[in-house]
Amino acid sequence: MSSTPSDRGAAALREAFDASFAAAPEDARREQVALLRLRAGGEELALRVLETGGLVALGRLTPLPARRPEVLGLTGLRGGLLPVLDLARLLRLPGQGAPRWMVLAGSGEERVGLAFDEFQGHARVLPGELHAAPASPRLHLREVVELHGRPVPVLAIPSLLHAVLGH
Amino acid sequence: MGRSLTYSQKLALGFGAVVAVALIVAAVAVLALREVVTRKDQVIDVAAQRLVHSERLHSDSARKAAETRAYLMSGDPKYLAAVHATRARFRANLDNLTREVQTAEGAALLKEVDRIEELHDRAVEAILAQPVTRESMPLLAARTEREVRPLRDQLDQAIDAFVAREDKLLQDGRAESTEVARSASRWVLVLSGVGVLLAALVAALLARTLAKQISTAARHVQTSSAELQAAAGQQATGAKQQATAMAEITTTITELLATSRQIAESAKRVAGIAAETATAARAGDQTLQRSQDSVGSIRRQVELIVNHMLELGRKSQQIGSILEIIDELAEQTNILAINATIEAAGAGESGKRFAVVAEEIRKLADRVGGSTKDIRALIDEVRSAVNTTVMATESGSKAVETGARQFTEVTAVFGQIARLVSTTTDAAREIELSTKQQTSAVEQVNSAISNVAQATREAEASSGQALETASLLATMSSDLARLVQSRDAA
Repeated sequence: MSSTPSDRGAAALREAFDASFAAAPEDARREQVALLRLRAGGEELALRVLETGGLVALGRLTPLPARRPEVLGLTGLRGGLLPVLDLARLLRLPGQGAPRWMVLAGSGEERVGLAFDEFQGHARVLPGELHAAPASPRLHLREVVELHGRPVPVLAIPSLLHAVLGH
Repeated sequence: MGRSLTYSQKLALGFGAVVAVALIVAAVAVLALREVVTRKDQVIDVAAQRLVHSERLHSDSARKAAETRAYLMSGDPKYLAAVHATRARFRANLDNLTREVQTAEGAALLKEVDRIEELHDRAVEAILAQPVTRESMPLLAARTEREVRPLRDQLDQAIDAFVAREDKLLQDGRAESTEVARSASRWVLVLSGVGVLLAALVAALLARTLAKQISTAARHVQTSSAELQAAAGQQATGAKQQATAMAEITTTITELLATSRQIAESAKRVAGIAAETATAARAGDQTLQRSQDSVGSIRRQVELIVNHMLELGRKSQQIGSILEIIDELAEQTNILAINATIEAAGAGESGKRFAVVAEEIRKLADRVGGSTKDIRALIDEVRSAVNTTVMATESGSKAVETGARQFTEVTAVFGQIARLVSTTTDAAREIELSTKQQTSAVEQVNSAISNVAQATREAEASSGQALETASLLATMSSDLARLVQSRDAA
């Protein structure tokens, strides 16, 4: 009985998994930058994983009256309340979406949730693959990385957080 | 009405009238004779008898006188008894006459006789009451002569008057009966004359009527015999033409006979071919029956395949549902791994090794997610293939059903063909048989036509004879007409 492509895929997966325990950690791997790929306001974005406090699915949202249109409301997270802001509106992106995910930004009392539409996956790039954005960069999007052959702007969470919190 | 009577009826009617008159004459004669006999009998039985009785009155009166005289002369009592007996007979005779007489004149005459006889008897009894002795005898005789004689003369005269009257009655009755006989003779003569006249009249009428009708019939016969003559001539011509036509018919029938034999041969060959076709049709029918069974089996197998395919589709759907769960688990594992990486980064140097593990977990989750996508694509392909297969199988099933139905129809048609071929075989055999019978019949017709041709020739000959007979009849009817017309003229 000949092996099917699925069987061959499972074998390769098993082999790679076993090899990961046998090989020594690579330094280059340690230097790689972990990115999250997401879509907000109809635009594909990336952000550094380590600049966030976590990725969670957007739960029940209680609307909150506020002067700032980007404030979506409050949500509960691990026994505490967390304000949620619309990332697309913060970045003044034109498209209107339906946020289903959020990344945590900041810490302690200043921690907020940045809601976006779609979580597209994870990516690891070398620091050299991050380029400065061309002239007239958009707000908080000063770098660009090429993912799957397309240039994707990289969001600077600290810059955005700073702008939001008014520091 | 007279015209509608036949000759025999008219003759019977005329003779019947004559016979009726003769019967009337005979009846009148018989009645007259009977009347004459009755009158004569009455004259003989009544009038003559009465005349005899009247004459007996005379004789009894004379005898009584003689017996009285004998008694007066002898005194013997036997004469006295004889006197009384004689007087009793006289009275009885007188009583009879009194009862029989019917006229007042006769009764008066008899009453006068009775009265005078009573006077006479009283005178006689008065003398007879005297004792008769020798001495008294002359006295009694003288007294008798004196007292009794005149009375006896009166009595005789009275009896003579009655006898004369009876004699006259007898003469009258005889004359009357003679007159009746003469009258009957006259009636018979008159009626006989009437009968003779009637017979002559009937004979004349019958002769005239029958001559007229026979003359008319003779003229009709003359006309008819002329027509018959013409018809016999036409018949002779027609018989000649018929003989010619019969010869042509005989030729045609001979050709028809040959054709019928050829048809019989052809029908025999057709019957043989039809029998072979019937055998082939039955074999084809059996093959079709087997093929129909195979098609039925294919149809059942196709239905089984369709059911299995539908089941496979349902299972694929269930696999898809499970795959969604796996995908969801992979995604959540990925998120957990990302969050673990973040947490590990927050833990400083000690968290780096955990970050490696978390990264491996994330990669695994990524690969699981990729695999689930591949599986989903495969499942979609499987479901698409299943749908295509089901549709193809259903259309195949429908095609098989249609084929089965068509097979059934073809089987039915084959059966019908087999039956029709069988019917054709039978029909061909019947045609063969019928044609043979037809050939036989045509042969018989040929023979009959020959006979008819012979008969036609004979008819031709007999029509000539009929022509001669018609001419003879025409001559005879002319003679008859002349005969009757000459008698009429006479």
